Amino acid sequence: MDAFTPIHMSVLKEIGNIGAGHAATALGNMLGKRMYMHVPHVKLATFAEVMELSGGSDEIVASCIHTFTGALSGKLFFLLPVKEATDLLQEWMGESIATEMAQSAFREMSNILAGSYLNALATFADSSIIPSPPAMTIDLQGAIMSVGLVDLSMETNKVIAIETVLVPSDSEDALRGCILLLPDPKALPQLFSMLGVEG
Amino acid sequence: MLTEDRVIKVGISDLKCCKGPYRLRTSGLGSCVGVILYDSTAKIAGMAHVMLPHAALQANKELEVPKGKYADRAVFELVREIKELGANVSKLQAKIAGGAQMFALRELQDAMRIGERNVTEVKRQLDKWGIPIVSEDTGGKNGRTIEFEIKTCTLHIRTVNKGVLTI
Repeated sequence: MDAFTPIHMSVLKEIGNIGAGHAATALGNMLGKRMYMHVPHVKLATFAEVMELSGGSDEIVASCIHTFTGALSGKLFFLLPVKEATDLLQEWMGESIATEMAQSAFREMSNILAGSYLNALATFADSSIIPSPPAMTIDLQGAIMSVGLVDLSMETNKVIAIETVLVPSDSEDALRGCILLLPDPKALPQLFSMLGVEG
Repeated sequence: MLTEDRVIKVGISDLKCCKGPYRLRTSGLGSCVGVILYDSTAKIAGMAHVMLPHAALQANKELEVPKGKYADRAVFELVREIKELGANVSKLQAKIAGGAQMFALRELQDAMRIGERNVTEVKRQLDKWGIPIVSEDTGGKNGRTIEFEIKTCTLHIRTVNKGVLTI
């Protein structure tokens, strides 16, 4: 699918709104603080542009990747700059991000985020979406994203990226978490028709 | 890694060649492989950010193929463009970095093995042209950002855990 109309883009933006809204609430409940999200950015981006989203390709981030299948298939990334991830886990459970326990908690956080994001989206489409367990690593953001782009690259040179930044209510910069959804381009027409959007 | 030389950025699946005191840089090599060909006498070099081993893997045949995306095509293009800039093909040398396996999840298994396959194919292609690999930093679990300094023909590799390695 190469041609996206403004209607398609606004539907995708709404998907980002609904999904990330639920994810922010779920994360907030888990951490015991209110989380807000910025208005999602939706764009048809080259792989190089995707790698520069959020904090840029050279930023060191703690991240999880989920693949998902169902009404929509694709990949969901949860990215948190390593400094913020360290502070968050220290505050939340008193553990350094280097420990197995903290990384397990980080995975769980990502499970909750991905589950609530995709569930909200599936409910919207009156269907179901099943996320995989997360793959986690702490590394350069660009390198992490490129691994998620490899299988998409056999089909396309550009992807739809739905990026949502999460922030806690108390400060703008304390937690620049980012949820990035990369729908499988082949799965989008089906989702649009389920939502009753003309192709 | 500080100098006044101009930095030329090479994006994923892209390829750039140049002559003179430049630095060629590419970010975010995960399973991808950075391939550098250079003529140290003429100070001409090219860098490709290879994503996949073979152009035959492209499922969508109508898709435009970026020059640096596939190992087979990228090495061919590097040799061609570098030759056009005046490099002596028989004097070309190579340095490569990348091809990590960053995740160990079943769902990402296909993507996982790609790193190793990319490295193998890049080496096979270089061998076909008779271009020796002077040094390499491949495999492992970490992503890399690399910068090649044409003046000295050195490759600086940044990883999360190991700092900057120069090969």
